[in-house]
Amino acid sequence: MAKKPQQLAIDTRPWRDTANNKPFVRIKNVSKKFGDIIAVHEVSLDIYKSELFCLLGGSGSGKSTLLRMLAGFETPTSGTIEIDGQDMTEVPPYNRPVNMMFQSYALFPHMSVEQNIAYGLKRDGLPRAEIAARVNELLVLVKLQDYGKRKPHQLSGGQRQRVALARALAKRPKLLLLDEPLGALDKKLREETQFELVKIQEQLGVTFIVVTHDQEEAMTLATRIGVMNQGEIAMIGEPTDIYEFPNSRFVANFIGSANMVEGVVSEDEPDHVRIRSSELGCDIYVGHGVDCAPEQRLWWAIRPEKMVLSREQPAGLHGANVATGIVEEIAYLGDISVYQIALESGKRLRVSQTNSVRGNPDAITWDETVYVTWDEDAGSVLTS
Amino acid sequence: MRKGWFLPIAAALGFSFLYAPIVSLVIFSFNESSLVTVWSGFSTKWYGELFSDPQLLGAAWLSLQIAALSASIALVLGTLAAIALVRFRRFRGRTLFAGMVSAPLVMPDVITGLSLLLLFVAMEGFLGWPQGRGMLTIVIAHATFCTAYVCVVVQSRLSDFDRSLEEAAMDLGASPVRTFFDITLPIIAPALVSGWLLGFTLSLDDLVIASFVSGPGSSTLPMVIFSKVRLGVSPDVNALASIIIGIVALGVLAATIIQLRSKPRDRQV
Repeated sequence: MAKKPQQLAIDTRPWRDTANNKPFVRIKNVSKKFGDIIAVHEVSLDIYKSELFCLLGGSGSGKSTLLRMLAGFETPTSGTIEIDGQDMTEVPPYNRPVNMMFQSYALFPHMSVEQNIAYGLKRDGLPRAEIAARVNELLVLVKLQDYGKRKPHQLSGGQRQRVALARALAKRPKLLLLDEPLGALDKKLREETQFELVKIQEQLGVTFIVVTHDQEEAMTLATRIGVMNQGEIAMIGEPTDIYEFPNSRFVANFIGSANMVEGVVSEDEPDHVRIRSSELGCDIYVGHGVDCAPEQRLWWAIRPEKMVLSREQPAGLHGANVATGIVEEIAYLGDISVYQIALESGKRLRVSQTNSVRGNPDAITWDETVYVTWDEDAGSVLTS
Repeated sequence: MRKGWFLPIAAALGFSFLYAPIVSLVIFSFNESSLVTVWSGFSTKWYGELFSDPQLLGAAWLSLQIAALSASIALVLGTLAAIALVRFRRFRGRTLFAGMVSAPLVMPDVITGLSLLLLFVAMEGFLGWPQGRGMLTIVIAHATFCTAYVCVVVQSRLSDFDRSLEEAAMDLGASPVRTFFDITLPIIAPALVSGWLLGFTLSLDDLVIASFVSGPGSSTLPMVIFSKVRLGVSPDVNALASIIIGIVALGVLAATIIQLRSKPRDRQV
């Protein structure tokens, strides 16, 4: 695909140009305590118009509490929430220009699909004809034209999910909050629905904030991801930033799989850093400057696919970046194979290799001694 | 499973133990003879007699009014108590409140009746209200113990109520009051109906408490029947009892149908 011109990239990614773009949702130093438990701690977050922002975190990370504060079901203990320039911190849920899609879908069991979708419109006192037209439009949008008269219990899980989405979109909210929108669907349906969700979001231009614990879901859906850990935002960034340039050990481990190695800085130059690692049994040469001090203890993380295996000893870089080990396990996944290499120190590395040769008879196999090597920019140096 | 003879016989014995007295009562209500235990032919004359007995009819009408009123009062109070217990999970004295709400379920009727009587007498002395004892005091007394039953029934319904339904309604622009009437009430309605029916039946049944708190000229149906039976069982009481059995059976049937019909509809989705 042709590369997008820089100007366009900034247009669709307003967060890259914060000077000229006003955030649509502004969360400032928000904390929430339940008794002695701090659910959300000093979170600040700017979300821009038409973004599909994912809050990603494990259970108890505070992501759902943050979402509920945006919806108005919880009031922050401190801090403010602004939506479209208006302070919403104390506004009750029924007066917010925000709608939410619930994890359990929360469809009203005593109302038909149409009545469910029309409920919010009726509360706004819209004329009957307009409500009917809008409901119809939404049923078409979620492809449920023939299901309007059914009750929720007569629908499948996927259909219920779409009714919940239609109901949440009915009032044309400026901001839609989605709590684990695909959590209750099976894997296949989930993948289909993911793309449908993105399509609808782009079509309507509504700002979406999605809470999920599923990193794959976050990576596919999001324009940006906020990784949450113990009530705090650990990192905010585009999916590629989060995966390729994690800012901490937590993020590196939480997203995808990573080999984490401890080391000590032996050379600290503006253009490169050398890390001595007894775990790896070799030095790590990093091709850029790092904010650190000589003899500082730090961590280095590398993704399994960023390393190369070979039988012959490679040249390495400045006498670094080559580790030696024995193949302990191989997991053949079809497109790739994941090798577990046991190093002399007892440390194990996971290295994945693309199976580009069909049924390769010369593939590296169990108990072989192999060399593992990597590029000078392949790993991330982490100080926290 | 092998078909044995034991289970059918045991079932037959059990059911006849439960229902033989009732069946014989209904049969003898159609007896022509004025002697309750001697069958002399089929007749509906006792039903006719029943409807020309102003004392019985008056008592029946009073009982129905009391039952309807006290069940309705109990419905409101019991529902409020249930909401407080389920929704406010932690408040000071919750355990005490929960225990006290359900205490009337196990309290002997005699004690409930006696304590209410003492209360009414004391209140009349200090406040001048309620003046004397009669329908009002019976209604208050019945509402007191029916509240406990309604509370238990509604509580169990509310505890598996998905709160996100209410949140969804508020999120779509409904005020809390609106949400209660649009969402909460329709969903817990079956529990309210069965709570009300339960209260109605219990009030209609009650003899002991009513005897304590009733006054002159306000005898409920069970009280009238009881006093009549003490003078010897007359066949018109059989007829009356048959009618009551019919009404109760219809009520139970209605409650069951409501419960069954609401099951698939209200399954949380």
